[in-house]
Amino acid sequence: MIFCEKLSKKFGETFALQDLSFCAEGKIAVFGFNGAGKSTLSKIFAGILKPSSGKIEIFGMKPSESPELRRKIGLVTHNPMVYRELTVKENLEFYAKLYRVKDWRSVLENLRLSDKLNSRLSELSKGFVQRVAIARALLIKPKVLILDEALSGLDLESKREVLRMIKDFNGILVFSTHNFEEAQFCQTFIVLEKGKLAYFGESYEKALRALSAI
Amino acid sequence: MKKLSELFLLFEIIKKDLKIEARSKAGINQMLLLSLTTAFLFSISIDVESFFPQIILLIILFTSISGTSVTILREYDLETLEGLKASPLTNSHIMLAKSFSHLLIVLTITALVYPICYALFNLNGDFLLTYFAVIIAVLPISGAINLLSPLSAGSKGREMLILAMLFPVIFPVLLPATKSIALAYSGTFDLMSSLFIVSYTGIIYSLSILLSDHFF
Repeated sequence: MIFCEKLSKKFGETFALQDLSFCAEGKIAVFGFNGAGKSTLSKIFAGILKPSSGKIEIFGMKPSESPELRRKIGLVTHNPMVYRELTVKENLEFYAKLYRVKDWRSVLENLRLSDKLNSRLSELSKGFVQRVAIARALLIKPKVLILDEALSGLDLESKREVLRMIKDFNGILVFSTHNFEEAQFCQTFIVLEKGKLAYFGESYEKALRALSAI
Repeated sequence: MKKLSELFLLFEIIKKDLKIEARSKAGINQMLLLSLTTAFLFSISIDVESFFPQIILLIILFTSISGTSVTILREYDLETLEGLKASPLTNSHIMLAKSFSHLLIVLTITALVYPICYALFNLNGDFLLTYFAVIIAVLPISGAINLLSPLSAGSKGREMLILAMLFPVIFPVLLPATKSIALAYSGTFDLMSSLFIVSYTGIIYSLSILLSDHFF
């Protein structure tokens, strides 16, 4: 369960998020145009950013203050957050050790990374690097999976494969995307407009209407 | 037990940093080149023996600053800091691990450059005791650079900015470091100066940990 109450985030004098209040679980889609605050919200959920005011709790804990909670959160953004000088195996092993995960090789098969284990990331295409980023988030067997424009850079086949995986994901999914059709399977929809909540509910159609009204 | 496993996590970051540095060699090459050039220039220009403590401190200072790419700034550059922040590590863990990575690399460079300087400058003092005093002098310099590096993350002239901020921070240890190296060279261990330098290093590392939440 994700619980937000009057959640705001300010950068200098500008509000990136303002007075967001909602309570959601299951598969959550976050829609909004550039600068709406989607990435800021994802970073607050992941514990990277602290809110300027208000409250955010996931399973009753504050992400930025609880390493135990962050151990259960997988984050993938358009920036892969991996080390290009290291191999696929070294990258995944490094993160597995940080999260104290022993059995991480099961994620390799679904993402077709098994034969690239010893390749350096600097030698791989953008699509492969993004797959490593997804593997990094999935290897911890997260209870909360946050995808912020995570499918950008993937080819059609990989995108389909990842979408299938996240549809089967058994936990809280926060799926932020520009391609609204991809998120149709979600149960809850959040539409952000310049950091404010323009829509929160369970209807995909109403979410689209709220978007087109922006 | 929990503290032990946290130490293990720091070790993983240090191992990863050293592996990246060993592959890219960007920081090490720059540091080596700068320190050897400085040593060579001084070796041919003046009576080095009387200025040896100051020269070796200057070389360490330049070397450490040119190695800022090994500090937390590397995570900014590679855009991987958010990956570490999203992990179960705390900001102080990240800061401490990055500081140790920088310190280890600066100590490695010192171990390589010090004997070369000793030979180039044609010195006759106590080799080992002087080396020990030099190592103690490295501690606060590396610590201060790590403390200041996150503040320069958004700047284009990082090295210059760090140098400008560094001087007032390390000013209190410059005199004791010079004195202890000079005394070590003549065969006497300056316990008081060394204790002062080590204590000051402790303060710098404590500040790094305490301020890490405000830095990034």
